[in-house]
Amino acid sequence: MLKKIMIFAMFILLILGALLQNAYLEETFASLSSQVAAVEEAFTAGDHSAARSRMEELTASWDQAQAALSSLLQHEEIDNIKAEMLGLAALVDTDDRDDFFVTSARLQYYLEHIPNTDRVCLENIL
Amino acid sequence: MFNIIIKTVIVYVLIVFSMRLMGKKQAGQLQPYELVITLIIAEVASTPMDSPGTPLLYGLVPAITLLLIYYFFSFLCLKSKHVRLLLCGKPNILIHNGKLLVREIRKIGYSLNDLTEQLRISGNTNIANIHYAILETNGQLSVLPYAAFCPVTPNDMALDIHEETMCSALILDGKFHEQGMQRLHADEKKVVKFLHTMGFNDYRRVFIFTLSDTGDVFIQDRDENVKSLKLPTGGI
Repeated sequence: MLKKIMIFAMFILLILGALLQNAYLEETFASLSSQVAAVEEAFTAGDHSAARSRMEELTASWDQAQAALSSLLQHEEIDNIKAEMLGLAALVDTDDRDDFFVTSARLQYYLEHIPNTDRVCLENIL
Repeated sequence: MFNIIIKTVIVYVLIVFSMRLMGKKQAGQLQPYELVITLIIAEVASTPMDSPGTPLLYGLVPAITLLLIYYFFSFLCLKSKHVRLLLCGKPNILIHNGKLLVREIRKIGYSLNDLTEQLRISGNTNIANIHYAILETNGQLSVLPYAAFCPVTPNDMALDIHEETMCSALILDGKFHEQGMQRLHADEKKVVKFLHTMGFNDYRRVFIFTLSDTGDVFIQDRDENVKSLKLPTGGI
């Protein structure tokens, strides 16, 4: 009887865990993506101090999420995002318009791509 | 490096736990779906062990999933003979009444070399003496010789024999063995007193102490001193 209860509990935990992970990734990366868009908006408008402060908020959000994401994602993916964020922060500081949009596009791609790889679809299964 | 060590320990504990949940079966008794899960579970669980950048979940989740699949299939096999037939197949009779069933052997692609090897292992090399040889679903060959070629039993010879009694351990490696003590209704004081009379003054130095229902005693200490006797009364 105890074994049956344990098996059932494991099954429920597995399904719930998968659903929660999915929801967490979607929410976290959507939030980060919108924060990157906010940085882009401020940078495009030429508001250097707003771009900097939004960049700082973005970095703080990322640092907060990183610990949990480390247990859910390949570290290589996390390292890629971190590297792009550091690059973006440097470009905001130096007001480098040319490379800023390239880097932010790359960062947006990573932020959109990771939740997509977790979605249940034929592409991800095959 | 420490991370890899810790991950390895966690994964190992999980696999052992999973194997315990899967039950007591030796490798040769596993059905095909059980063997597959046993092979795969170690492979997937080891993924985070040798890859520092891979989270532990990437090994734990597949291992737990495989364990759940195992229980699901086991449940289906229990409830449905069709599913059991699909997953495990059915036994095949390869020898009947002292003759090889050639069509059956060819159908399942069982080589004669393997067949003769299994017959040798079972101790029945003369096919003419075999009533049935059945290839079970787990790959083992069950060999049933004719009664005339089976080993003689005490029953065949109408012998009056003592029933084998079970020996229970009272002390193992210097510690009282609760199950054995309960089974023989022994208490620690009596056991220690008995050991004193046998010349073993410290029960913690006793490596093994067993007692059967009919009073057969075996005591060995860590210095390999042995005492073996039969108690007239049957107990201590």
